Amino acid sequence: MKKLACSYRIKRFYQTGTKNRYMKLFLLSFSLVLCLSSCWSQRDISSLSIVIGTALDATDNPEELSLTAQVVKPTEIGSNSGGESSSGGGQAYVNITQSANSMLPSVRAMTHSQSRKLYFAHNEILIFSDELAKTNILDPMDPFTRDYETRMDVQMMISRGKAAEILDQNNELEKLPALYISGMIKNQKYNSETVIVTLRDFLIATLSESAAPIAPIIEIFEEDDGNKLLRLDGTAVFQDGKMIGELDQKETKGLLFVLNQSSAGVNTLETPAGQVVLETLSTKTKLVPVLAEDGNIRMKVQIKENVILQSNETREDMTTLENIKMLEELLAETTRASIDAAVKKAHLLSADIFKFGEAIYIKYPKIWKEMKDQWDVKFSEVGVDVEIDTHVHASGGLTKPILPGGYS
Amino acid sequence: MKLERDSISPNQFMFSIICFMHAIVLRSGFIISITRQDSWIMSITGFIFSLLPLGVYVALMKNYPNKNLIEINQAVFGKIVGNLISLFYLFFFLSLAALNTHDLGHFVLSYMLPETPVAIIVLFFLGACFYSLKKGVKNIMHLSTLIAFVTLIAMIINSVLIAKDTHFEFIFPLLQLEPEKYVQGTVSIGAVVMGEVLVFTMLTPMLKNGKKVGKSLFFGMLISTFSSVVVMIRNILTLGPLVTVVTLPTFESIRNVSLADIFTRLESIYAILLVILFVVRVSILIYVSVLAMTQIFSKESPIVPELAYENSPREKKKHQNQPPFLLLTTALTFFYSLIVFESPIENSHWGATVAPFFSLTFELLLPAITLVAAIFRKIVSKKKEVNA
Amino acid sequence: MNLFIILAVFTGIAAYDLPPVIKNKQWRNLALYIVFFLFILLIGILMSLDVTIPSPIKAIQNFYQNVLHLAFKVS
Repeated sequence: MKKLACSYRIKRFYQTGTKNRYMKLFLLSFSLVLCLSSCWSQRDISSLSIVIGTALDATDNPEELSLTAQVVKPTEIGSNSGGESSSGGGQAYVNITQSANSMLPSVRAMTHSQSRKLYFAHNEILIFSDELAKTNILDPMDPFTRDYETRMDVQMMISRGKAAEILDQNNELEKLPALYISGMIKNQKYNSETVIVTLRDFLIATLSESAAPIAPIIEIFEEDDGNKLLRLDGTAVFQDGKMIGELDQKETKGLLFVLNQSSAGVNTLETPAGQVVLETLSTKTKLVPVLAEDGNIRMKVQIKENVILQSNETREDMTTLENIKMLEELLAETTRASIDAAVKKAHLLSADIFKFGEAIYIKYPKIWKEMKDQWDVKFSEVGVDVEIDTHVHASGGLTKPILPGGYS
Repeated sequence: MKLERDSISPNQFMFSIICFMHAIVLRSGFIISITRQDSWIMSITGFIFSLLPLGVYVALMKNYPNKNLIEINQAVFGKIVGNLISLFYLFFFLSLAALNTHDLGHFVLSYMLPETPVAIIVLFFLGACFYSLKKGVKNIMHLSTLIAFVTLIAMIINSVLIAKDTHFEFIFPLLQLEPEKYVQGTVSIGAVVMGEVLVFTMLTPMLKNGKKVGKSLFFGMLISTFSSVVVMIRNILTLGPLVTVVTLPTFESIRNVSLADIFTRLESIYAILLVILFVVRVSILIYVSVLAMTQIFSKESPIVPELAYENSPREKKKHQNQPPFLLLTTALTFFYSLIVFESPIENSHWGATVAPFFSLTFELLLPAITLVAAIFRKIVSKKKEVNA
Repeated sequence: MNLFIILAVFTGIAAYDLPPVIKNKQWRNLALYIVFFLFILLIGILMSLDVTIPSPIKAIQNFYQNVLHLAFKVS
């Protein structure tokens, strides 16, 4: 490479040379600092109220709804969980309520009386009251989908009674009721008697031509000693953006079986010898539409359940082959009963909560085109054949039960 | 503005095509609302449709090796008519640059900085483009290899992380819409997404081996098609019927990723990659516009052999015989992008209705006319040789 | 205020671009440059005074849709 002679150094801006290079670097860093510190649209965390739970209620005015936002108080999170701080209260959250025509009007109306702006990006739960759900749930839901700040993986719930009270329910385990409820939702997979629905799942079910959206129901349950608890109990069924009915826990269990969303759970069986408890490890369901000879469609539900013996409260040894067979048959009967209950309720509400329509669409698109327009009538005519294959895997740590006197 | 000959390898050409196309692939919302769950098939048929303009370009370049588009026009039609036709191409490239800048400006505006005036966002974006062009388009081509790899790896990682949230039945039923929708989808993708390899026919003298241009273009488009199919299938499988109603399907499907509470909120990576890809894309578009302007209006050609020691001022003086259009064109793009549409809604309306035909005029019609004239010229000159 | 910024920026552009051209006495290039410079300066001044400049893309949309009838229908 040819060496550059010194005469080339002309004082121009775009020359190479240490001083000019430093000047260019300085200008570049200066502009980067201006851009990267992002002062223009900055949002200081001390100017935001972080919302972790939202509840929407209907008000006396049919045009308005009431938005309750549960906002975290960051100073109180660090204090003792059980003790009462001397500054009074000790509550780590604040529920702010405001009535207006829609979500954004109420959020902005709150700014008249609040010192910080609501920030929805960490919202975990979205509760609609059943009153609001029975009149119109899609219109209040649209801003939560359209806005970029709110996310579509919030857990959705319908409350029996006022939704704002659900957010106010104190509990001893967690500081923030919204996080308590969201932890409760995560816990449901252990009982498989509650559906878990995010906003996205609800929207996808709403956009479907045939399926009826579902959402879990949450309520305040008063125990005998006056203690109030939150409880997830049952499922709400929607059609055309309105809540039309409910399923109780047994029917929800059947629903989850058909939807292939049943995971762990428990089954208590009454055998002739006594009570036996089986723990479900896993369930797998296949939903197959079958074209019968008379041109009708029947849905075949094939379920495979894997259970283990959890508690043998009889005096008999349940690990013999005949007893295992009896347990499997009893379990199949129980499962069949819950699915039948769910199907009966769905036929009563004529709501396709099992997504039968979509299964038929995938397999027999031409037949679906004919059935599509009268689906709410035709759905009740679709018969369901359930084939259950249960398998008692293991008996746990004991084979024979502990009998007084032993097995001499 | 100069264009250096023989300065990049065919592989870098291919990777810069991939970067160029992937920016639009990530913003493919306008196609999904038309053809819904069959949009991935539209990517493939759009690619096949765009092989037609590609064939025209390759034929033109075979007839006039190592010349770029404007030089071909000047050779075929003569200097004055060739320059007139090249003015149309110049308008096309400027419009593309403005449309893409507007696109990115409004994306950043709606997602990241809602209260900033869009002019400031576009100003900083174009400042980055200007700086990267000042350093030379050859360097952008070198960098695009790295950016293409990073983008493809990010796409694979996102697809893997989202695999547990996909429902396979969303892709059914196949091919149930009316045929005219499929024609619309094919032509839209073929013209708007794939057909923009026209821009790269302006850069062909940069290749070391002029014969491999067709191969680089073809493979670049093929890999872009592949990545487009993967992205569309991933969006459809994740979002289902939601994919037709959301504004940014890729954005919403990446928002879905949440693995063990650690891998959440990955859509910020998508936003950063999109901005980087758009910088590459708009830089190349502005460069091509400046090159076209220089070639049309200046007496000496800006295409020069590769400079071995480009920073020495004596060499710079020798080759600085063109007017410095770069900063002016960047300013023109800035103003043009601010007036081009009033809102992103008009942008999607444009993309769905007229954009394919507008692009096709410049990507298929004009080059086809040029090819026919070139063949005609060849026949006439052969006849003259025979007669003489 | 905007007008002042635009004028300042364009002066900066001219100061950045013109010295090498003038120093090398490339008069044809200078003439071409000044033509484009004035055109873009005009657009900039009009925009800073909030005069709406008609967008060529909208004219093209109109042309293709209504004159040539070459447009897809919005579904």
